Amino acid sequence: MENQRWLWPCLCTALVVTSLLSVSIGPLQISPMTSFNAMVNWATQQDFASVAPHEQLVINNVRLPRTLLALAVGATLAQCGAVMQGLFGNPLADPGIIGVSSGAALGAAICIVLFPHGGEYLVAFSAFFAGLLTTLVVYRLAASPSGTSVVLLLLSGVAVAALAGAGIGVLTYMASDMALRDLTLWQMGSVAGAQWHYVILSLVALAVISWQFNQNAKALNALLLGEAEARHLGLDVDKLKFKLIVLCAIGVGIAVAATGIIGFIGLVVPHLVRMLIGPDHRLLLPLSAILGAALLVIADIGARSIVAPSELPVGLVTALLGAPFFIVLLLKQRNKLG
Amino acid sequence: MFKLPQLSQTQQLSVLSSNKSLPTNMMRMTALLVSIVFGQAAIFSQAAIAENRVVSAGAGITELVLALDAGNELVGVDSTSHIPAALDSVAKLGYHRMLSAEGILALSPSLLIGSDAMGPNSTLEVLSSANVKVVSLPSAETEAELLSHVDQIGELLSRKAQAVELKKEIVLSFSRLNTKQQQIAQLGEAPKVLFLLLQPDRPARVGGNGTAADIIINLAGGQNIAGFDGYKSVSQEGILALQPDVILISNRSDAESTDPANELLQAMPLLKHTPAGEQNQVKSLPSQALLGGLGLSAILAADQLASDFMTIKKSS
Repeated sequence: MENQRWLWPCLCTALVVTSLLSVSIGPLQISPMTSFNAMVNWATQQDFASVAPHEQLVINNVRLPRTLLALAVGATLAQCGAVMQGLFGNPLADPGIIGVSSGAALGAAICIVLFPHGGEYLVAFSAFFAGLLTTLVVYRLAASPSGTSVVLLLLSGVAVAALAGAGIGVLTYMASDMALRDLTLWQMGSVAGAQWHYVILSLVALAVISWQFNQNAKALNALLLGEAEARHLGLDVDKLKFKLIVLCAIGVGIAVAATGIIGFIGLVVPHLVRMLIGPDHRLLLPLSAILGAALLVIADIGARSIVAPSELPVGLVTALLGAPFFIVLLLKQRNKLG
Repeated sequence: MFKLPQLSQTQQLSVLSSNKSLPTNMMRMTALLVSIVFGQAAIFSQAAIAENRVVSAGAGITELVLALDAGNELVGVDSTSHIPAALDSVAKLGYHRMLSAEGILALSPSLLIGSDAMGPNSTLEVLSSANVKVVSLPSAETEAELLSHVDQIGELLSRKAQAVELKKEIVLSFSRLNTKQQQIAQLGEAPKVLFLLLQPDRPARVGGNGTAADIIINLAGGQNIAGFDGYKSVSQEGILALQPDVILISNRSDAESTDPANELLQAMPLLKHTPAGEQNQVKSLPSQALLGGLGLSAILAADQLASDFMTIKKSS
């Protein structure tokens, strides 16, 4: 396609520029030059340029980790969204469709409400494992001797999400005021408290799932023909489904554990990329990753700047940006079809 | 005494005329809080150049910082803190459980004081390594804890003389409360009290054991008849069945209503048939008294309530 030639450099430049902006912008005034010097100091772990200690600290411990976390989580969510939409053949699928987000939310809610002194790591662990467990339950529910049908998977995902929602409702009712507030904020997602070990974990997860998804890009393309047709082409559809679902659950589980629930990136980004380059997964997956990362970084810049010196949850910003954007997309599509 | 000189004559007079029956100490306590709440531009503009730059994250802590005459050193407060209008240059930092490290550092503070609930920890760690002194004081529940907070904050802000005065004042108000509690106890069974947190278009939520309202009710010598922990929604019928002698209310909305008792009885007509409704014993609690555990406004509210209880017991 003609426009692919400029798309790659454009998106990559956008990603680099937004990341650099993210490191230079914040409530504390640090000039772009100082930010750049601080980044060089950080990368080399030496004092190449002199930067005030508190500015170096903000770059090292606040802005760099949150920027990298936003990159990793944005890329993970967007890719998982693209894979789920491909796998389910459903444009409304998002990474949460297999129950991982709702399960993770329930796991986090249990910790926040019932073990208020457990600390943030307990919440993260519990969210991750509950997300994974919920996905496996959804998969088991949909499995039959003749394989898993996509429709059953979808429905059991909805049913289990409803059950998890009810559980969260009960916990919300029981919660003390402070737990209630914590729970609400957790569900809106934030990369503000980014810590280096979350960053490293998310980046490793991103690398693994990107590599694996790319290995299966052709198979996903075959699946676009329909499940039966893909089977006739010699594809082990059930094995593929299980593998991709587990990968998504791990990727999204880690993302959710590190940041809470961030919506719309996984839903909107793959659609956007498909409009630009079509449905070929070999291109769709990496481009979705780049665009998702860039969008989450931009949303995070907004989250920390709009109400400075306090902060908005970034999930709120993605929803505020994403939902209207999605509506505009829908209207455009409608005009094309109608 | 802190602040009293700043109070205008008319304010003092109005305090006097509206509370004739109250003992003088009570009046002084009221005057103190009136002066805290209604601004003291004069004293802050006269103050010397600030030595500390203080961020306070917690309603109770901010109240103490203001009472210790250190409002001019505040550079930021969390969203639960209530500060006088004269201090509008103080930055608002949002919810005290999700403080932004960078947002606080941008204020270049020297000290962050807050409750033990403030966080997240990653923010506190960044601030500590940026040489901001981070002090967390668990929310006070007893007189001794409150006094020790006054000491600690007085020490941190070099306001030792003011701390001594404030402590005297607090000890005095507690002993007054004790006297009232004993008098109420002598008049028979403690009044049965129910606290309602009102939100527009939502069922009222009743404050059970361990809530801030519960602390105030007990301090004032009443008994909280909710019988559960935390806040729970209770229907009008449920409230009627509990037969409270006094209904305490607090409004979540910011608009101060002129006659909250009447509005409550109109919104929930069944409550007219409780002893509280029949005797017109619906009292309003200032929302500030419900934040930050046992603090100055909570003591003041409890003192007022204890006087109300005495009137009720004597008349019945």
